[in-house]
Amino acid sequence: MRNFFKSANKNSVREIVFNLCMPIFLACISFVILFIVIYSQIGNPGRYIEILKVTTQSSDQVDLLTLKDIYEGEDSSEKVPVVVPGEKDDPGYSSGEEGNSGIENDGSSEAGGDGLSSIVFPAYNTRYGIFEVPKYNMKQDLFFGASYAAVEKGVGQSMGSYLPGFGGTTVLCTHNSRVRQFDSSNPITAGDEIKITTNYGVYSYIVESVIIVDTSDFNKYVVVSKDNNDLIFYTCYPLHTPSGATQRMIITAKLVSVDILDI
Amino acid sequence: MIRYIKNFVLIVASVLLSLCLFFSVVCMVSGMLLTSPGFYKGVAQRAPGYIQEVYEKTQKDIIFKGTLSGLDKSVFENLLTYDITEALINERIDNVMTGADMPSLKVLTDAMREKAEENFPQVEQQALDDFADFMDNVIAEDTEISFFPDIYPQLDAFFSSASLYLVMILSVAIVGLFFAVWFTAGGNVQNRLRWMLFSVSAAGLMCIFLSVLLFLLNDAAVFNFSTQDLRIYLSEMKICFASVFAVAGIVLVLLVVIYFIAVAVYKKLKRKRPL
Repeated sequence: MRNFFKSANKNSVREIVFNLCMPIFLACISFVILFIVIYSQIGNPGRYIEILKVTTQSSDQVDLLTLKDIYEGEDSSEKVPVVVPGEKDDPGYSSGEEGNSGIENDGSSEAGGDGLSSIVFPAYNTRYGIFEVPKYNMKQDLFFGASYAAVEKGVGQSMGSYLPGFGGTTVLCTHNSRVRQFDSSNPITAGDEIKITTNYGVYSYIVESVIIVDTSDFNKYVVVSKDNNDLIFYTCYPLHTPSGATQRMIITAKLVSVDILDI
Repeated sequence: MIRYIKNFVLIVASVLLSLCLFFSVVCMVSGMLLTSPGFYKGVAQRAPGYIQEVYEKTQKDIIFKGTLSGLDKSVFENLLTYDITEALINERIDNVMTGADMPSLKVLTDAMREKAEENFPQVEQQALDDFADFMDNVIAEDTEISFFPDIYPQLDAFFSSASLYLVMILSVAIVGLFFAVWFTAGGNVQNRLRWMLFSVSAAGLMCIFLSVLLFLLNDAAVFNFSTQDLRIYLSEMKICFASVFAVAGIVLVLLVVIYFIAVAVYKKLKRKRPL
């Protein structure tokens, strides 16, 4: 080793250093060029991650966490604000959309009776029951989450409202084209029955009122309460308008019977 | 003056050559990995807790959605096992990659059908068939890697057609830049070769930098948009990419180092050889 260093003259040392440094220098220059090109073309990559976060906020993960907080009240010391469609906290909020009043959970709401505590909560956009109006022999799939995808396939339940049987108000909605019978020669009226069938129970409601309101007044009539197990169903009105409906039909129904299934 | 311009051109050509080589390596490695079913399956198996997560989610879903039909909970309990989940994930990956829409593992739907027939002999065959189809879709959705069926066709299109043009352009550019370096480097053959190898080792170093960056990337922050199982999967995929880039980079750098050692040894031996 000592001989090697002795024999190495100044020039060869310089050559070795040059051979070592040149690739590093080239790599650094290339990286800088690459960074400048990428930054000028697509901007800050972090921005795309933010966009991804915003566009996927209604993923199963987020909604299931919210649900868990609402129903199970994991941390009873902490108040968990419920994300209600139409409220500013809702990821899918946009002005002019239907919404409910926000409620806060004090962690005391139990997941229904003993028989309901073992329920696996549905994921966002999954079918969890059947919405039925016996008067019209109408049966529609009931989805968890009032997303566009859900109301395209059936009836959607607003995420901020309670599942049937969990003590609070259940808010459902769908496209007006799906419930045109409600405004037919035999319209839906007070006293008609609405049934919701799930795998943990069958819930029967009796219609109390059917009202038509302007979109601006919507929030006054669709109010979620943890003490009131009513069903609120709404859709765009007039029912025969394919688009641009400026009113909402709101049906309020009272829970009259519950048939808990053995699960 | 001419000498300075020549050196500047040499540096620019070397930098461009490094960039082209780096892109070639990245394209080659990504193409090899992203179009191989073995890679996706391997990631699923290596990702800590991924299969377990999917297994638990699917198990819950089978029971929840199965009981919607009115059948008893016992029909759906203990149907799914960890091994079956693993087989289902592999099957879904194959389905997406081959474009086939095969039903989910038949063993599972058959077992479900058998149990349902035992418990509820009065149930019609048609109803059972419909139900099996429904459950098949539920299982398929649960065991699928999120986003994968949407993203894979684009990846496949890119690596099968667009990357062909890219490879052609890069090959032409690399050959052209090799010549540019060769003619501007000047001196003897060894010096010209040395300049080319500088670019090769620079590309190798860039691959190593990239792998270090990938290793350092904070999964929790970057993959925050995804669900728990997908996050586990993407983290493992990131580690796989980082490892492969590190290996590719080390190989390139080692090749150059070996060349320089070989040249040094050769020179030494030549000097010692008696006349």
